[in-house]
Amino acid sequence: MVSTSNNKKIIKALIGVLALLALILPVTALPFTKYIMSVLTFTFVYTVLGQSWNLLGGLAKQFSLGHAAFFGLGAFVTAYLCQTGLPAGLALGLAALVVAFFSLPFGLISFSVRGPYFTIITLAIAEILRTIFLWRPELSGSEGVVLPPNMFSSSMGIYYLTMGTAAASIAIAAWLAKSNQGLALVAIGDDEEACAEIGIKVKYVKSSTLAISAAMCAVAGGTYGLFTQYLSPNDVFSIIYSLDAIFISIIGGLAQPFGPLVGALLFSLLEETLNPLVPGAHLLVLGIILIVIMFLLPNGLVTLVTGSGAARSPLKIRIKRKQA
Amino acid sequence: MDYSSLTIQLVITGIFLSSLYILVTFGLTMIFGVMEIVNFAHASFAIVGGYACLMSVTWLGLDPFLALIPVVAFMILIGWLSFEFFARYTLDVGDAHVVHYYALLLIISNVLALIFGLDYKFIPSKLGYTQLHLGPFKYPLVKLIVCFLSLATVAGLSLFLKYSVLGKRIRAVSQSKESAEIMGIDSLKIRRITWIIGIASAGLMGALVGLVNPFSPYAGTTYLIVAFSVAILGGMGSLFGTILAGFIVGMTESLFSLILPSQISPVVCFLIIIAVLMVKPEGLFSRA
Repeated sequence: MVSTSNNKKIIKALIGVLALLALILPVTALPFTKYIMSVLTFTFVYTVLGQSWNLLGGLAKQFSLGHAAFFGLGAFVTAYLCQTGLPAGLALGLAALVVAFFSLPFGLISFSVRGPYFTIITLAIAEILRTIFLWRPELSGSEGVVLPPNMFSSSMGIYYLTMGTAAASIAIAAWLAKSNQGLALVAIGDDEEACAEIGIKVKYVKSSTLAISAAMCAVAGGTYGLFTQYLSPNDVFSIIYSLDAIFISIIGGLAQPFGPLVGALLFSLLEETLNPLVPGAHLLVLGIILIVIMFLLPNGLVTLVTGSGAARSPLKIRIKRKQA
Repeated sequence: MDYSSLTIQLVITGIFLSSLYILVTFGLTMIFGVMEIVNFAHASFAIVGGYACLMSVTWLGLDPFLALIPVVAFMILIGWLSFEFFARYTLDVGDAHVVHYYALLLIISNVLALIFGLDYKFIPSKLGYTQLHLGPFKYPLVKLIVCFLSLATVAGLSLFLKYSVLGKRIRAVSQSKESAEIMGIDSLKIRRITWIIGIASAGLMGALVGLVNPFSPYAGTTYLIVAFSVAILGGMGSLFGTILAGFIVGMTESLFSLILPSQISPVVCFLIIIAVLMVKPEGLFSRA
């Protein structure tokens, strides 16, 4: 036990140093500052995206393939609101709220089925949205939408914005995992019928978590839009984002608050190094890494340092902690 | 062309689409029935078949229809390899298997992209654009042959499952693995055979599609979603349901192209998926 707590202290110190470095990065004058900043901005967007999936997928084992719907809606609603002249920060918050409301019918439809059927139905909903946005020129059409310049147009503004949202997403995930709702989610992931029988409001717990997850994913989409300043339905509603979310969560660690950050770092690193060499190669490598991790480290890379055993579920660990 | 002959033309197109949809869904639903696995990589195996056919035509100089024989042999090999090195390890991971199979989809499509590039490819055939004239109607000969071959394959597989000893064993395992094992059936062997049949039929479908439509390494997703809607409509694991559902989806898509703008015709498939799952999650024609 002593060595684990020592390890944890070292890791905490290391995280602190890295966070400080990330904070002061924009004012340093390193040769690649601009480049590193843009890579990190993407990493933070991906962290929020992965985290939003992880709330449902990690804790309650609901493998959604429809998070691209929230990502794309968040991006487009933010863009429309920005076009009406609202400040970007407010637009982002409102978009999160709108998408959280959208998640209610989404949940009503998708939670009526389980297991692989849930995965298929979420995929279908995201694809319907993509088709509709491509089809209607009032929404976007194939031309896409351009975002007007705003307070986050500078690389430093968007850098701090995404860093803030990433930190907030980690804090929300950590809080949720410790709350009663988090425990209920883990229990639902283990056995849904049993949960319903002991009086957990399964539908309520799932839907409310989906709303948080959707809002978080909308923020990821919105910040993505603010960063790239151009949106097209084929991009933001692409199944790629649903997949990225899954990769990032699973590679980093299912149900681990810091998992998506680790996953997103590895993801951007692979994308930045491999994609320029051979286009698409990073996806191939990611696929291989994903399979290896699913078989060998089902709880993700984070468990390599935190040392919570690979085969234990988060619930068992927590029960032990309470007994001690 | 007047309206009624246009409708007939659309019905023929509907039958043609249905035959391909049934063939690709057949393997998907068989694998689900026996292995309880939703193979998200199924349509990617179809695209592998398409490229295998293209290679046999361009490298070996075979006639495309003759090339189907080496393609099926190659897909059986691919099926065996993918079972021994991948699928058999995913049999007991539960719902999380969707992630394994999505990773497999990514690996397959990106390996194809690295080898063949992202351009759309087309399998050339000597028949080219030859049309078959039947009274006032005309229809491309290639499409008719493709339609016939896929329906014949489905019929052959159905008869195999219904009457052969091996087919009976496969159906026994899909009904109850435990009871089948008690009766002395080696369920791992049955699953391996099912997987190989499923992958080979997907590869054959890919080769047939390649003869009539251009394809690219990522084209699999379109067929994947169609296969899902057919499988869900028919009830996962039900072969009779698959055939009926294949005709419903193929016909609907073809006839709806008359009234809907072409960009949103995929929505029909998605709406079928959602509606059926919400109303009757076990599928319209499921055995249970």
